[in-house]
Amino acid sequence: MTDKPGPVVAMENVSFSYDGRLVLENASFEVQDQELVCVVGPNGGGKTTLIKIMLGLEHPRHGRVRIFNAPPGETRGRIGYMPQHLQYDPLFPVTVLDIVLMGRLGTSGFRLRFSAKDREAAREALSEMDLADRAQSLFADLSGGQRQRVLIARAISCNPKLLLLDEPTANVDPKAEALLVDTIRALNKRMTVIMVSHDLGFVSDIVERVICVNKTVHIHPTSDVTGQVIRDVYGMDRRMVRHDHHSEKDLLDDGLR
Amino acid sequence: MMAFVDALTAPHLSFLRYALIVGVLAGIPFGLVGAYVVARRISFIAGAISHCVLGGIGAALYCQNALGWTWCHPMLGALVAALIAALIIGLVSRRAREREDSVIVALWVVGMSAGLLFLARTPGYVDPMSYLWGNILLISKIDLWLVVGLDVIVGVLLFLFHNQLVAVCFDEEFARLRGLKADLYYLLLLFLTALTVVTLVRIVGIVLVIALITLPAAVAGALSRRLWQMMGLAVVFCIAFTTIGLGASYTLDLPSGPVIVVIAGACYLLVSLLKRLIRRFQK
Repeated sequence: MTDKPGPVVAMENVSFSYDGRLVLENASFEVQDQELVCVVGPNGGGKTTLIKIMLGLEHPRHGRVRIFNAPPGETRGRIGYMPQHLQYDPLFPVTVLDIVLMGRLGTSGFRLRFSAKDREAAREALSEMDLADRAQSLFADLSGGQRQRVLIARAISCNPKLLLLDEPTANVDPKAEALLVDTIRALNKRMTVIMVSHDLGFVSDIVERVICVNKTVHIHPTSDVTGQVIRDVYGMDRRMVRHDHHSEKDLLDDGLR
Repeated sequence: MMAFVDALTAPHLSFLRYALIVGVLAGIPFGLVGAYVVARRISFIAGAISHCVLGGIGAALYCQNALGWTWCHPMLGALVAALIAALIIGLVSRRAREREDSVIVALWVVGMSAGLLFLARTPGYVDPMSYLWGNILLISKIDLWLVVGLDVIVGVLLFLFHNQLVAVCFDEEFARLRGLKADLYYLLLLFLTALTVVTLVRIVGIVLVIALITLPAAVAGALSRRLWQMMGLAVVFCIAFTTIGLGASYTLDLPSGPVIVVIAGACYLLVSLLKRLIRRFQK
């Protein structure tokens, strides 16, 4: 399967409203192949909506959306998606491997049983997430960071070309967060990664560009994310704590840099 | 208990044999489907579907006795009503922006009331109690074949779609993104629940049938790590509850439905308490 040339994601003047409330207004941006970008913005600002439009789960009222140069929904097979882990029923009786195997559904038509190839792909995805020894554990028995990595493993088990991560750092401790940074960087070597975060410190460490969403959409290279930009996006001054895990002391700063 | 075993072989007590066979055969779909119902937390939907069954039974009896449609067997009415109820709940929860619980309760009470109204207008005496609480004296060979048929249908469908159903129950949105028709699988689960509910209406009755969907699976859930383990154990528990319950009800001369349910409830309570104790002990 060869990708058609052009951007992986292209949005042109996309507007979306939910129950009469305008959530996105004239959003236009492109994401190129192999890029690592982050969608940031306040809660309710339209970040998750943007992801759902890319997945074809929500349909914009106006504008044009192309994913791999095709309408969203048609190219889902090439997209890996990780939702937030908090929405899951902790009592649901599934093992980690069961969950990762769910990512293999739909890779090649209907399947009565998962094949040896499916299991191999699932185990590979788990070892890449450093969770090979937890394959038979219950999802509920894992920590927040581990659950997040299980969901990433599920997302990548179908070998996607585009990976969408919704709040990978939500409810994850700093140590697990550092591990996630490495993981996401490694994945980016073979796929385009778009992630949603409200955590600007985490973002500035790894991505090249941020897509700032607060009804309207602005693109900034990370080096340009200054106090002024943050004020524009969040509509107020925001005190930032930089998550710099390489140094002993965290830096308190009014902007990112 | 020996009296029960003797009674099973007595020629004039064929209903008891039928009841036992139906109970054992019904344990299979109850355990299998019950595991999904409990894991997906839709027991209350199973409750609404089972209560709508009375509407179907009432309508069928009315057609049989008032309109002379002799082919209109009450169990046929039960089956049709259960499937329609499942379809309505499925469509409402997917499409309409209604409060789901309100719709479920509305269906629950209206289905039941419709049944009672039909029965009130049916000529001759029909005892609604025997349908509400179950009556093993009513079990015939037709019921036996009905259960066998439903066993096959439920078994085949679950064998074919197990992976898909688990994925949809665990994370519907993700399943949809993997190209599964999640709405269709959810509807399939509701249909399977409806079929299952109908099989045991004769023995435990409409009001109590929800107990045998939920309790064996809940007991099994406390003891298993994966859904298929839960399904297998739930089948075993369901068969054990109905068999022991039937024996006890015959020996003690008590109505079968409530005896079965009390045994299932007691077992659930016991297992929950034991699990809690063990967990505390481990800490």
